[in-house]
Amino acid sequence: MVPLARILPEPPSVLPPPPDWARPAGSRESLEDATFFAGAALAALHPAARSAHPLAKLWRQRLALACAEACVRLQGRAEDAATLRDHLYLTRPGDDPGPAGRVLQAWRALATTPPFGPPPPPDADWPAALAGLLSLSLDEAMLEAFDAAAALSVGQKNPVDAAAEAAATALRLRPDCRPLALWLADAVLARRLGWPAPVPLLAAHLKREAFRHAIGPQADAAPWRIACAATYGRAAMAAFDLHADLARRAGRLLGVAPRLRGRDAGETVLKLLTEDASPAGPGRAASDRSMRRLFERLVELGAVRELTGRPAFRLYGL
Amino acid sequence: MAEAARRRRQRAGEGELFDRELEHLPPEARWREWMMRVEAAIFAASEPLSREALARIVGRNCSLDLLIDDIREELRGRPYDLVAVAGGWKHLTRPAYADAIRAAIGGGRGEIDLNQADALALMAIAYFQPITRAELSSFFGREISRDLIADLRGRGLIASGPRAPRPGAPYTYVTTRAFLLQFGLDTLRDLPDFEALEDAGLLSKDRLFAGDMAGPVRETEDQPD
Repeated sequence: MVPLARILPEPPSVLPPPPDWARPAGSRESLEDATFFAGAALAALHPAARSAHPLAKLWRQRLALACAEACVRLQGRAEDAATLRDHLYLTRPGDDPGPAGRVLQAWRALATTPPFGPPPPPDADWPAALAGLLSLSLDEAMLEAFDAAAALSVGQKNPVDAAAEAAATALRLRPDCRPLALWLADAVLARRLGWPAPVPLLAAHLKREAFRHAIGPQADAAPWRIACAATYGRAAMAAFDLHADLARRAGRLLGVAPRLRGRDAGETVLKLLTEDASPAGPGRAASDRSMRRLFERLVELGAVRELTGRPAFRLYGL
Repeated sequence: MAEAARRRRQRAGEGELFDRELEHLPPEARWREWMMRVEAAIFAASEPLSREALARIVGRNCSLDLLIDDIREELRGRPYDLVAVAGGWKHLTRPAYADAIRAAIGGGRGEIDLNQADALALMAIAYFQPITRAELSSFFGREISRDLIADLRGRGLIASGPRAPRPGAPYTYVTTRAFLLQFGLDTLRDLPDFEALEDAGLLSKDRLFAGDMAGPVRETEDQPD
């Protein structure tokens, strides 16, 4: 058996908390205020976004889930985050997770592979893949939106503004697809901030009313930029809090890991650190039953949560 | 911007000795030739031809949308048209000639002849996917048989989606690309808006689930292949 210490990472380091003044009370009405607080929040988020710890993958998946939930709502569907997670994790390999599950796949794909950026070279198939995942028809307007976002992802412009502009351009070109615009904005921001993989932020926190500033008769660039900057400020703070919470849970899980017995204990702990949810199926070496016992023990020790609240088809995660 | 576009186009045409640019021709003849090529390729393909496939046979700076518009303009007087379906383009006959085609070749090979119950179940799956057979049955207030589902599956219109977290882990069903093709839809978002249909009085959820067929479903059945 491979010793646990060789498989498992160190507990994630505690990141310096953002200063109190970066969480202002009240509204941020002017562009300067919104951009300033967005900058402060994104700077606080920077170490988390650059971190190479395995936990970063889980963190991005949780954020992707929140963004997918918001996008599914925008499309007028009724699925909530728990249902989306079910769709993804209960789909057999090769089967289709359905239209809502594919939206989640699109966000998780964003959080793994940056669409724009230096090495690895940008994957030219992104527009086609995304069109499939978001049930969009791929047309020249969509390719143009991608090109505009790629152009904005380099340069000297303020990154938050660049992301807002990428979203506004995409909304103007394809007013029928808001998720695409939100997806591109996060991709542009990540590239401009030098993050190794995008962090899904904007979609989960942008208010529905804000879209009228980007498209429609009342479209106006200034309020749209304010809305995006204020949203990035809020979203980055929420993402930081989520990261802190996950880091605490990961520390507890790694703390109890040496007390675990049984086959596959190391792999299971590592998987729990990197994957949003794990069904209690048979492991590599362990039987179905022994995995179930392992998860139950982890829940008893308070290291892992059962995410669904169901008596069967349980999904476990940090 | 230009960089990403160039890379994309380069990749699309990698490793071929095919003259896409046609630089020896004057612009109008070149456009004409591209139109011919695109229409020929779409005509010859059995499946809808995607944008990436078509990008390989026209020049780098050619706008496919404008090209297709021009082709469609030329087809205006013909009984068939170039239609965007299932993520690509395909020649389809115009709906007005569906009866004539049926009279001439009948319900021959490959034709999907849905009866009312099949069409109704398929429509419910399209709107509420992923959905299990038990959920369909409770929607309609009567048993949706395994045979009916198997029939739809056999025709390739539906496939299995995620398993439902309920006793027995039943499969849910989702529509396929063949479904989009059959009903002349480009993506699922082209399904008529359910609420708009209800508001227009064309469709009533209660009547639908009581097994009463409403207007729009019959219309979609008449789509040509």
